Order: sequence, then C-alpha cells, then structure tokens
Amino acid sequence: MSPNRPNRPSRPKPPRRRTRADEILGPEDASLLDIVDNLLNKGVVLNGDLTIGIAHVELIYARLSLLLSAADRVLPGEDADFMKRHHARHTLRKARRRARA
Amino acid sequence: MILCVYALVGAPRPLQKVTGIAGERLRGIRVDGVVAIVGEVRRRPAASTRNLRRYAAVVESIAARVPAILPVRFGTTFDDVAELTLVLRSRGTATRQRLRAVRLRAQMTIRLVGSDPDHGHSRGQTPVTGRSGGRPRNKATQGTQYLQQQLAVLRTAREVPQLAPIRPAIRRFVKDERVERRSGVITVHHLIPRAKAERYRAAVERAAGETGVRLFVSGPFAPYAFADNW
Amino acid sequence: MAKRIRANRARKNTKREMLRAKRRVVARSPALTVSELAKLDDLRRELERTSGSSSPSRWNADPDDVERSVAQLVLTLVEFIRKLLERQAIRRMEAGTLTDQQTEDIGRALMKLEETVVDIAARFGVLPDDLNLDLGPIGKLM
Repeated sequence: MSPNRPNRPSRPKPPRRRTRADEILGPEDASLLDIVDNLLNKGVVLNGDLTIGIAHVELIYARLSLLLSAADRVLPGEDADFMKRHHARHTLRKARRRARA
Repeated sequence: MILCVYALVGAPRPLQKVTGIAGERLRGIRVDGVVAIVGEVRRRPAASTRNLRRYAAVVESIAARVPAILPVRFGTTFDDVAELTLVLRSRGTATRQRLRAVRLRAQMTIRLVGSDPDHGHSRGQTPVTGRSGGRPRNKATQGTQYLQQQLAVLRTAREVPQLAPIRPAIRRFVKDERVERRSGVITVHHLIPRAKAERYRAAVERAAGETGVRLFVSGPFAPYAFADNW
Repeated sequence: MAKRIRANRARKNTKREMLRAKRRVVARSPALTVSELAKLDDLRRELERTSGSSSPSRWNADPDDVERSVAQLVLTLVEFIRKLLERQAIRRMEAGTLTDQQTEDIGRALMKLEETVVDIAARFGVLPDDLNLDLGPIGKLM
C-alpha cells in the first residue's frame, strides 16, 4: 500500500497536466477526496476537546479522552468473530483427540 | 513537545525507514497488547493539504510493514505518555478486537453520486427522536418491538439499493461494509483481503459496466473506515 | 518439526501478502460528468470545513437563560448515553446474546428513557433537535 515500489526499475512518466478531475479523483495518488475523507472523517478517535464557558467567556478546557473510552467497550462474550474461532478451534481439538483415541 | 499518534498496531515492528509528518522518528508505545505509533512534534498539525498527504503517506508506509493497523484520526495529539496510556488501557478490548477484524485486509471505496434523498449526516445513525412508527400494539412486547424498529432504521440506512446489481460480483471479497451518505454522495467502504484489491476493482468495474451503474472505485487504503465499532 | 515448517510457511505467506498489497491499484474512473464532479468537490469541501478545524469546540451557557443552557447540556449527555446503550443493545440483539426477557426489558427501559428526556427538554423549551453537541473531531455526539 506504500506508493514506492523498490523492486521495479523506475520509468520516467510523461508529463501530464493535472485536470480538475484529477485533483478530486486523481488517477495515481490517493485522491484528495479520499485523503480528506479518510483522515478527517474516519480513523480511531482517541480524544476531543471542548471549552466550556458562560456569557461568551471560556472558563474550562476539557479533554474528552475518557468519555470516548467508555463508549468503546466491547465485553469479551460479544466478540462474535472471536467466539466463532474459539469454538471452531475447540471443536477441532476435540475431534483430533477422538481420532487419536 | 507533544505526541502525534499515527496508528495503532498489534505488535512492535522495525519502522526505521518511516518518518513522521515533521520528519521526526517514530516510536511505538505499547499498552496491553496494542502499540501506538507516535512521533514527537512541536504543535498539533494543521489540516493543510501538504500535512494531510504526508500523514496519509506515513499511515500507508506503516500499513505496508504490519499485518494489522488501525489508522488514527488526523491531528490526534497527546500532551504526555501517561494520558495516552490511560486512554489505550481503557479501550484495550475493543482495540484488540478491531485489530483482529482488519488483519491482512484493506479498504476499497466506492462512491456513487446519489439520486436518492439526502439523509444528511447519516452513518447509520437514528435521528434523536427515534419514535418511528406508532405505539406498538401488544403491551407485553413493546420493548422488543421498539428495539426491532430501531434495528430496522439502522438496516435501512445501511442499504444501498443502487449497488445491488453489482453485489453478486463482489460478494466473495467483501468482509465488512460501511455506508455513508453526505452532500449527495453515497460512499461505500469495503473491507477486503489485501491481496485481492486488483481482483476486486476489476470485478466492480466489469459488473458496473455490464449493469450500467455509475460509480467510482478507489483504493486500497489502510482500513480507516473500519477502525471503530460503528 | 512439521509444526515449525507450517509456522514458517505461514509467516512467509503473510509477508508475501503484505508486499503484494503495496502495489497501488489505479482506478480507471468512468468519465465524470460536470455535476458528478461538482458533487464530489462539494463533499470534499464539506469534510474539510466540518472535520478539519483544529480548535476545540465550544459550549457556552447563555447568561440570560442559564437554566435552559444547563438543561440542554445535561439532557444531551443523558441522550448520548442512552443512544450508546441502545446501540449496544441492538448489537447484542442481532448477535443473539440477549434472552427474550432481557430484550423486552431493555427495549422498554430505553423507550421510556427517551420519552422522559424529550418531556423534560420540552419543559425547558429545548427541542429534540437541540439535544446535540458539536465536539469537533469527535463529530456531533449523535
């Protein structure tokens, strides 16, 4: 997924005028739209800031790290993938034991 | 100096060849089986085009070197390691689960310029007044019906009927999906096995050509849209 | 011995997959119409505008109506937690890790709680749409 390809000899690319379409939905690099969408609108959010005040005067600056942390908890019994694989491993192990016996 | 967090990965890997957006060396901070890849910067990076492109390049460079990565939102900074550790520790379970879900997978993005009514900011979220439908008939199952109504609203938001014609062609690649509607554009992100990106794109373009669906495919990217649980 | 060979092979396969994935896929987009291009540009600009600000978001109580401001903040936080609970409940209902009775009890509690929030809000002149908070990078709470 890195733009560099160290194993290929580099070929000089013909100069190409960047059209407006390229800027938004560029052909080679990840387009600006994708970058803006991925980086500013997605990805793990670890913290956020909020200033709290009264009468247009900001008095408190709050870091909301823990509020988000609480929002993310997944209890062990609910991880469906994990439970499925765990169950599959368990069944396989049982079958092997039986075959050996 | 503050810490800029680029991504969360599962295990520390050598990252000497990768530098941060300010050219800084990257290091891993390990908390309960999750490693945060960070760099020391002087101030919180501004969202300039240059910084955004650099950040994206850093994330993709890291992604090329690890089997599982959760990109972190641009501009995420911490004043000290203690605060970062606290946050990571309290989210350890969910983070490890997400790392498992994105292992050896990448994100492909399909965009359709929608002709359906704009739901506004819709990421499958129910409106604040979730009172959809009338009062449930049977008093004994009110609660269950309420939850099922909310589930139905979520499912409807997740549906993209415009994509239905091409779904058979790509079903075998798609491990997970996220849908977003914003500014008249429908964005669908698919989580697919990394090695199948070209096959996925070819299948999408072929099916779109055959069925006349106008769409735009981009990728592969690190799994930005699958970094959280919703 | 066989296990070690298998483990080595698995590790090599992973590395091969990782390297193969480095090659960027070039999307050959269909020809963009002017309106499609404009829509995508709109999207990009809106994302930059709403998500790109690095300054902290603000909540500021109106001194002429402190009661209403505080009520709005408090009820917004309650609604936020209620929504989280609801999302989690729906997830577990889908996954089948709730009994029928639990589903019923939780559903009823969530329903009643939402009614209560909306009713109290109305008493302070706060509309359901006001029960929201812009938190910058966190995005709107709901």
